[in-house]
Amino acid sequence: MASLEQERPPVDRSGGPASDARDGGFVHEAAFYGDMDSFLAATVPFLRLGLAANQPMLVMVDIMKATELRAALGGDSRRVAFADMSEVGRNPARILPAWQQFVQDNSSDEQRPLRGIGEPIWSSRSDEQVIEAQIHEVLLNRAFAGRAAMSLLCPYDTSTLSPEVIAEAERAHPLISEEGAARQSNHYDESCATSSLVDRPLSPAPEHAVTVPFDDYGLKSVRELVRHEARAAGIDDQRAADLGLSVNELATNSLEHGGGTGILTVWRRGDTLMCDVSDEGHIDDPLTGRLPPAEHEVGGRGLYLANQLCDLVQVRSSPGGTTVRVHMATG
Amino acid sequence: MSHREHLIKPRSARFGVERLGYLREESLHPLVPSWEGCRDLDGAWSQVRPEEVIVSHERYTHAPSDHVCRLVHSREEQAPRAAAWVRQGLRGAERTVYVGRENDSGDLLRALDADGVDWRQATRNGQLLLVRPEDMGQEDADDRLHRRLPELKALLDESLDQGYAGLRVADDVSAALTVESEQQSVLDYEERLDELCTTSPLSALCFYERRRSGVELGRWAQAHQCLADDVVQAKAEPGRLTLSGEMDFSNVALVTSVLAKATAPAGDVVVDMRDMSFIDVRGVEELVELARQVAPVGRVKVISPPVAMRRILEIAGWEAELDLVEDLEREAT
Repeated sequence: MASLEQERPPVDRSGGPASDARDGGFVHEAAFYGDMDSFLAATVPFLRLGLAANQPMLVMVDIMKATELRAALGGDSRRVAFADMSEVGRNPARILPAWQQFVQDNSSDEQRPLRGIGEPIWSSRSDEQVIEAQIHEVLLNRAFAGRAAMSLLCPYDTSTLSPEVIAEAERAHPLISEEGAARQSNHYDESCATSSLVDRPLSPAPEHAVTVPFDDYGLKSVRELVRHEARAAGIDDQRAADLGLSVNELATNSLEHGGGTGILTVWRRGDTLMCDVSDEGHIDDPLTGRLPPAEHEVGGRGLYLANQLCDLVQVRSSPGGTTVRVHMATG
Repeated sequence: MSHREHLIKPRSARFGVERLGYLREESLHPLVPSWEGCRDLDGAWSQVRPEEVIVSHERYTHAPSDHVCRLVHSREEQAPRAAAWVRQGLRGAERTVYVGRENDSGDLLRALDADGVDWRQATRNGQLLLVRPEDMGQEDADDRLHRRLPELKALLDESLDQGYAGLRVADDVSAALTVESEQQSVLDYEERLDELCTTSPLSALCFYERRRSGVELGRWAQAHQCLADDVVQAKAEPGRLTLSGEMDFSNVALVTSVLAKATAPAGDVVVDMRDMSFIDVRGVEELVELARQVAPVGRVKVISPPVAMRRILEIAGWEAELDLVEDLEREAT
């Protein structure tokens, strides 16, 4: 069987929907694997290509896979940057800024294309995290297509992930590699629409949730309620303060951009404290809050901050109104 | 609406009973004996003598020369705040003047009664004066406020002659803001009063009603060294800015209006945040903006910023813009 490395050039780069990273384009590829051997078979040759071309490389996977990759690359692994995806990607909305930073840090390089591996979805992720990670995958295309010269490979574990997750990966990635063969995805959605994901409604807040409407002069009460509930749930001081700050900024967005008032709903679900901030505003750019604020409009700052500080952030917005739900683990 | 409520921790909480109460301001006085302190969840437990428990933000005491812009939502909110101001004056052996109509004076006296302040004695001996606005020149048809300042100066001199430590005034001039032609004279008056306060033992508490005035109050607020509302207090002097309470969207524009007073012609600006428990992204942004203005001649040094500020600086990448200084005094104790 021909190796992936040999087969890659003819398929990868023949004027499909994604242009070649070497031409200044963004190549977004999903690699389906079933065990550690096939994971390494998909990723090691990909990295070796980058090593040969002396390209800047960043790998964001879990620690176990990073260890295996380092061993496989030997001394060359020093030329590859590694980050723990279970940390960076705990909130999937933090992955995109990490790639953005990688692109920015290497932007002065004499136009060498970049190379990255990122595994945003794993089997122990909750359904809600999976959806946010899927939204992240789609938004990568929107954020980087035509803007960054980067080949990004996203491994998907077919032995543990559901067929639905694999099918969604086909929709988010123009290129798929599987069992050593690369092909164009038949289901890639060029419009980069996230609607099929964000149209899934959030689970309703339970009856016993605390609901408080707020206006300009209610922000202090909003913060006090959130910090109080956070402490009551056993969240430590720093994280309680982080949650209070996050909700404050989201509520401020409601005052500034969401019609001047909003509603805060707080409740516990298992070992997670949930806060919904709802208003009548509409966030029409799905990248809002997923790129550093300097690059984005003023209203995105609160959402960006919440993404950095909270364990999960779900944004559901339509012309009829917006709800931002933040999750904070109590443990 | 919940915004008139304040989070109070009952006495028992000191012994580990984790129960926080939201106490309505209106119901506060009858309950005062059972509440010993106030805290914000970010801040340390602060012990307050029962008679000083009004609401958490009123812990702030004003220095003898402060000129304070006190923002309130309605006239009803003035009496308890004026009472706290008057009480400080009486304790500090200052001649204390409250300018208000009969109704307002009545509200003040009831609030003083509720606080256990012996105002009868103070009015008998002349330490506390209740003055009608017309007696201070306010109803002068040509220029309502132009007679006000000479009156205050004369009263200050008389009070010092009589052995008082200073003169302390509580007043509401914001009614005049509803008349457009009066707005400039209010500003002139406040600016001259600010000058007088900084150069003599005179302190003034000026109430501004937020909603009634119907104008952006920043222009008038910046004629005061001190700004206070239910959530935040700010004091700006050349080279020093003292902030306490919480700075958020509801007050950031007003606090920003007094920041310019903290810039010194040369050198650093110290921002004392030891009593501040929260600041939002916009507030931090304004301090960073202040630092950029100061940058050619000095640095902004922030003492004991709240945790939220450190987070915001970190996430926004503004850490190099300001110097963060731990409060050595407090650490030593």
